[in-house]
Amino acid sequence: MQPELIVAIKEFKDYLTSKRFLLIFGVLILISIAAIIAGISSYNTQLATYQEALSRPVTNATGAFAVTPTMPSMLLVFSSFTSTFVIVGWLLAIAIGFDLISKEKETGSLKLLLARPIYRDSIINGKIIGSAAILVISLVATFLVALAILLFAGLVPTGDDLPRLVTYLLLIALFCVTFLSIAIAASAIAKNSTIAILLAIGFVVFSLLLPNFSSSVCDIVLGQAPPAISYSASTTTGGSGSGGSGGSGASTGGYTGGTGAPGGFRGGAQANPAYTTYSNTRNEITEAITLLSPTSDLTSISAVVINRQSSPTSATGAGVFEITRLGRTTPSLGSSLPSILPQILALVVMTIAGFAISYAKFTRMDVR
Amino acid sequence: MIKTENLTKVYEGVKAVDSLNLSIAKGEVFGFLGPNGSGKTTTMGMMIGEIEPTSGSCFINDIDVLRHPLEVKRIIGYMPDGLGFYENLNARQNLKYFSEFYNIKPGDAEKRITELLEYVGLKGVEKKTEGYSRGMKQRLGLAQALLNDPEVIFMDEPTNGLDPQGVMQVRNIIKDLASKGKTIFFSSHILEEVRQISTTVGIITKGKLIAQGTLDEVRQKMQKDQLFTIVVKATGEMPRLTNSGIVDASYVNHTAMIHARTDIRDEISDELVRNNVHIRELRIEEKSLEDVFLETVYGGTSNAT
Repeated sequence: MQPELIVAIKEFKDYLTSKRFLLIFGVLILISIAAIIAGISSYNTQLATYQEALSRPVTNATGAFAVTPTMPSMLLVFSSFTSTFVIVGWLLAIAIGFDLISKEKETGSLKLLLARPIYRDSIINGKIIGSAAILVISLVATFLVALAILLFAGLVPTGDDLPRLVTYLLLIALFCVTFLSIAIAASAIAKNSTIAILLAIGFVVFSLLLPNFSSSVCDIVLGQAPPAISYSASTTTGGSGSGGSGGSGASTGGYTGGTGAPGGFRGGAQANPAYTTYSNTRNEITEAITLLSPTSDLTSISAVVINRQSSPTSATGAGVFEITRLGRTTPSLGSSLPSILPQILALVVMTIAGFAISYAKFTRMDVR
Repeated sequence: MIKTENLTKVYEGVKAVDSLNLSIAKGEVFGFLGPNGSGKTTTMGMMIGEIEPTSGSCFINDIDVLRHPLEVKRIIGYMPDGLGFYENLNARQNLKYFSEFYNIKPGDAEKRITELLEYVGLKGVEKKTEGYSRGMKQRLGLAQALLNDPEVIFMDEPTNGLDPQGVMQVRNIIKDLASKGKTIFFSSHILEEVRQISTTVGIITKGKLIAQGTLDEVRQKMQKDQLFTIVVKATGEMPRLTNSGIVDASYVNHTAMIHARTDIRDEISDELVRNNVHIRELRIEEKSLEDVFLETVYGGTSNAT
């Protein structure tokens, strides 16, 4: 048998008998069940609203056509799952990974393992395979439990729901594996498990708080925002002498003699191009910063995959406004996936970075 | 069987092991003696391929450890200091896991594990290793080091922290392994242990090997003072001795303490007989290895404590 597999199987079996793992896994299952039940309740409410709307006449009292409602999707139930995994998913991943290496250093078993005819990269690869396998299997088990409850409640996924659910499961797994890789990296870097868990939790706190700081970062980088609306003297009639370049002057002159500016602003007022540039740059910076937060990435992914949005709308940081398009038709999964590609790539890059750090540190480590 | 050439390890600018040249023949029980922090464990770590040397090389059975670490690990056994096992597993499960890395068939591995557990006195112990005493861990440590029936066995402070009975058991196992032709390299900071078990010794201090050879050879090499000390006791008054070989002498009551460049006991005896002095005792007083070790390594007995 390949040495990687020997290590992986051992790790996998160890988790199955680990009280800590079983406890957190149990909590994950319980919270997931609670989230599913809450989701079913919410779904039923929306379904009742939908059925009530259907029973109304096609035209309303004023004679205008009422909007035909769309039937709520069973995916609605999984909306609450995202918040569950933001809370418990990382906890499970960190519980699995934070002492993967540091514990062996502390107990001294690593010295015995390294004395065997096995390369260090095989050991770290085996550990990663074993821990990732138990994590993914736990997630699949949680999903299956959730699905079983849904079927029991009479909610059957439609043809469009199934690929969305599978995609969601895969991306939830990626999210959790990202935290696993960070936890393993912390375990390889730290001298002991206490420092390792502090490092891992530090990353979680960073991940949760980062979106809140993105606005401050933008303020520092970009400075104060220019005025959103500018008033052009040239667009006013009879106000050429008094308009000037000042905002207030232009406003007065423009408004009194205004003929209506292109773009809907009256009296020479128009969208300030500098503000538009500022706003776009600010949004780009905010999105780039929040990409570093796996929890924000998962929220964005969930918005597109589960809530059927055409693009993530919650990817911006605090204090930044984004105008969303409210499409009347639900976009297909294939057409909306490219919009969350940056989030998926960010998770993949963070995962690879975590594993690379673990690998580099472990293979060069002096075990004394 | 074991050979090092200018083996050096530097940690943050400090030489933990400095140009170590060792040569140990097949079947030897080599005691690697030195105070705590002298570089014994680092040396052993480099020999078994767990620590990468800064420079120099090490060969086990003519195999370069740095270039072919897996080949070396297949023919060696290692019992580290501060043994740690997988605490959620029992002794047999720990050994089973380690045995999977050698190309031993599962049936043969089970048989070997049963033999080893019996050999080290852990037969029938089924509890998980988290409840093991220090002595039990040492025994299991020995068993895991012997899993692959190694030609060379490295042991880092094998009796450290054991009670007298445990020390005796480990020493007996080492002697038994030696009688089976195994080459044993063990480290210790206890001179008595080295004296009792080893056929050859090496003494390391501050990362440098200061002596290597048999116990007598090492003692002579390390002895700074090459003078012989001869103790003479007479039944009556001790006369002043006139032998030209005497470097200096002190006389107290009926006893003389003579320092000489050679063993002149016969000449002293003749002189005393000629002077009608009855000799009660005439002996040469050699410095013990312990005295020499303490003087050389610690700079004297008083500093050693």
